[in-house]
Amino acid sequence: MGASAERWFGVGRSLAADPAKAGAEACREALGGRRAGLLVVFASLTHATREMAEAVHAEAGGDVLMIGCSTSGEFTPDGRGAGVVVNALGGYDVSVRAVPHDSVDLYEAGIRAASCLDDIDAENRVVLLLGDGRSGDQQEMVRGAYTVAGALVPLVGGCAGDNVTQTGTFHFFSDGTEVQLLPNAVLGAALGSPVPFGIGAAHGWRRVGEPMVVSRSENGIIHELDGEPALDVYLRRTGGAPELANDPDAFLQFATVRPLGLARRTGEDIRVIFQADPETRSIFGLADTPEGAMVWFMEADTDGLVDAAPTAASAAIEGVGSEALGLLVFDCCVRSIALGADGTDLAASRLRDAIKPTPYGGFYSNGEIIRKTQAKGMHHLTVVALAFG
Amino acid sequence: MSGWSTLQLTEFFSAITRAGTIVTAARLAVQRAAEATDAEVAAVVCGDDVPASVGLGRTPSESLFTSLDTATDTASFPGVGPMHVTVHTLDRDTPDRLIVARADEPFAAEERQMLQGMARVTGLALRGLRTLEAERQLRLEREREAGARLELVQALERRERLLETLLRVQRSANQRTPLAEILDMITSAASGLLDGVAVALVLRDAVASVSSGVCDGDTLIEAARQAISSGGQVECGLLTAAPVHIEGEVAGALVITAVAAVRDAERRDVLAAFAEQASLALTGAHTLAAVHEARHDPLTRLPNRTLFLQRVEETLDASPAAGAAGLLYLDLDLFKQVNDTLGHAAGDELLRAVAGRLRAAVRDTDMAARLGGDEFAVLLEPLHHRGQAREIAQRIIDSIALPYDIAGRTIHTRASVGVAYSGGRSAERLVEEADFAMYRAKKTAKGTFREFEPDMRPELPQAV
Repeated sequence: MGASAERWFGVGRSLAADPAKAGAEACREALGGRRAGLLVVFASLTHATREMAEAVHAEAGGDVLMIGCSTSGEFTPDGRGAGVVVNALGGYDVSVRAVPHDSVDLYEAGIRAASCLDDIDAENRVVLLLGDGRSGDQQEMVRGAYTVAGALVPLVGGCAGDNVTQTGTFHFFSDGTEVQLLPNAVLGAALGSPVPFGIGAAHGWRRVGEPMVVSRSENGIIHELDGEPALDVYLRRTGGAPELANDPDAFLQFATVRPLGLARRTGEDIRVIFQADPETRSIFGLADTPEGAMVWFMEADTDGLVDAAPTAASAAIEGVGSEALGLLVFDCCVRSIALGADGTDLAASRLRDAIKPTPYGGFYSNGEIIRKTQAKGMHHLTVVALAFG
Repeated sequence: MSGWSTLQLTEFFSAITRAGTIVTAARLAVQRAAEATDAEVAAVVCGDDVPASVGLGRTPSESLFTSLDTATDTASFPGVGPMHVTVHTLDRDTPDRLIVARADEPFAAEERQMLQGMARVTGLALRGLRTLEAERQLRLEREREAGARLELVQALERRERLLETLLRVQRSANQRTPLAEILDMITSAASGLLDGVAVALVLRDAVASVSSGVCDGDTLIEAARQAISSGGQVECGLLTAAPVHIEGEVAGALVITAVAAVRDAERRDVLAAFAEQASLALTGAHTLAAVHEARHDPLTRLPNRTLFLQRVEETLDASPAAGAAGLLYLDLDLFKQVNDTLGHAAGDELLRAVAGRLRAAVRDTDMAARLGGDEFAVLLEPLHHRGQAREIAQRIIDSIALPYDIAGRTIHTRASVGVAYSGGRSAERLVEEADFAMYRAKKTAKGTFREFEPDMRPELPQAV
């Protein structure tokens, strides 16, 4: 898709109960009568259907590049909810790739998704990745993508959500005419522009108390901390009731907002704990926590959490260097649990006020991606923003 | 931030020992080295080949990396511009190297030491994998003698054992095993890998650890001196020695006796790997000890006033609600008499014993500290109601009042305790209020506790 002289960004949202209707409405609003070069679609699990994806694509004229994924809720300046959000972009050089689930390993999937960059020759480039936080270690996917993008091209994006049901995610894709609904896939879109893309990230968590050593772990399961059964240490240090160990739902609610942080050169790498085994006294993390690593408990500071989205978005806009046309925002779904409904609303209104009147579309994600200087790639409990100039 | 680099090295060990091919091992090395140091660019160079690189796209010109050697500290890459560079050899016998480049700031000594460790492990892994490939080749050719094949297999096995042993030592180091045990583990592990020869670690002109095996102390120290002054591995008679560093400074040497059954290159590799392992353990212990010492009272090992106030501040920031935390201020009655009549040594012993009882009387989440002299404090956190604070205060008073057996005599002391509760106060102010309350307790009924009330403030003499 060649770049035209004028670049634009439009966003539309619909909460209509019928997925296809919601898709068409959201797309119509995003386009505002213009012809898009790329559609970026975020849809709640209830709306993540082939009919929805086809309706969005048809509404845009039936011959347009499209990427998108299921979410744990979406948001725009009009508010947050469970429906469909369509972001439409025009005037950028764009190329897209889709890698179906289990077709290759995640490292190779990252290479293939990012290889859309080969098609783009522009002064400023970025790779937008939509991964799947449910299938394995997405850091491997980001590593693969980085071998293609390298130091010069930032990687940004998020992992698809499933309304925190732990069931499975879907991706929507079109490289022109055909529309695909792909479970647990990895998608990439490379964009080129004469002006820089801006990126930003923030989280609002901090370490608390004394560090512990992961004395036994494998594949994301932590068996021992400081030589003691990990579950016992975890509940004691967080003040959790012993009964939590036997109630998976209550433990999930409790533990997701009490993550561990791994020691890193600049700050911590956050690991979300989501499950406990009362028999083996182990705890389970969303990503690998290597044996021998030193970890801290991480604590949420409410103000920091609320301000993470406006902080990330403002940093992204600053990176554009001129007026931003719009933003994509990837906001970890666990942050909403930590903030509660009121806090999430407050965070949403602070984001809107901070970057008014710039339009944006975002979703609550299962992992956030930002690979640039000082950032490793795959993140959790974080907000990542990409601004278009 | 102390210790992050040795921990990253452990993760690196775990990852690279799983690699099954040279390309995978090289790829893991460049990814992990770049991620651990927030670097944008990394490469492994073997001869004129670059088996893996990241940061400059899929097929960067190999000459961008092959032109860099260990003397390089900055380089310019196309599009990226000038970067800080650090280059580490993988192996003593070849110019193979790990290159890492970062835009924002130069690599610190701790990072370079960690990367050197990563490079060495990568070198060992690559050598092992090459041996494996060579052995496969041998099987295909079938014409080589069985003896040669056996030798290669044995070399490979030793290499694998070396990696496993290094990983085990590294894990122990991270689990805060006492330093002396780690050093013994290093010397005995190196000895085990070299068919039981004597291995010794010499630190500051004294043998700090020696494996079983016979060798003369003076000869060891002489070999160590030579390695220290040359800055590299030296042969000294039948001994080989490699320098050991603490925070980048040469601090001693690892020394081994000659080995008949093991080839020279192999022996040098084992020596170099364990010398680095000892350097990392010593540097880690040194840093951790320095951090610990700066924040703890050397007599009782309790946190000192600085660390205590910092923790109180953090707690007040994190839980600003009134009464979410409490603070106890303790003063020992009769301490001066013990000091005056039995001497300072007995006084010190009493303070240590009191500290031990205090530690045992508080909860895991509380922090007991020595503020100075015979004054102690405890941060109570979390606190659900004031009854909890009263209960803990009474428990401490009861426990401290039990008799002590010091210098063959039975000694009694008591604690007077002041209690103050958080809420709209700074850390200093909270300590001050608990101090006022303690003063009131001491004045009205020694060996009891009192809770702070606003009218306690003016009663204190101005000079205190």
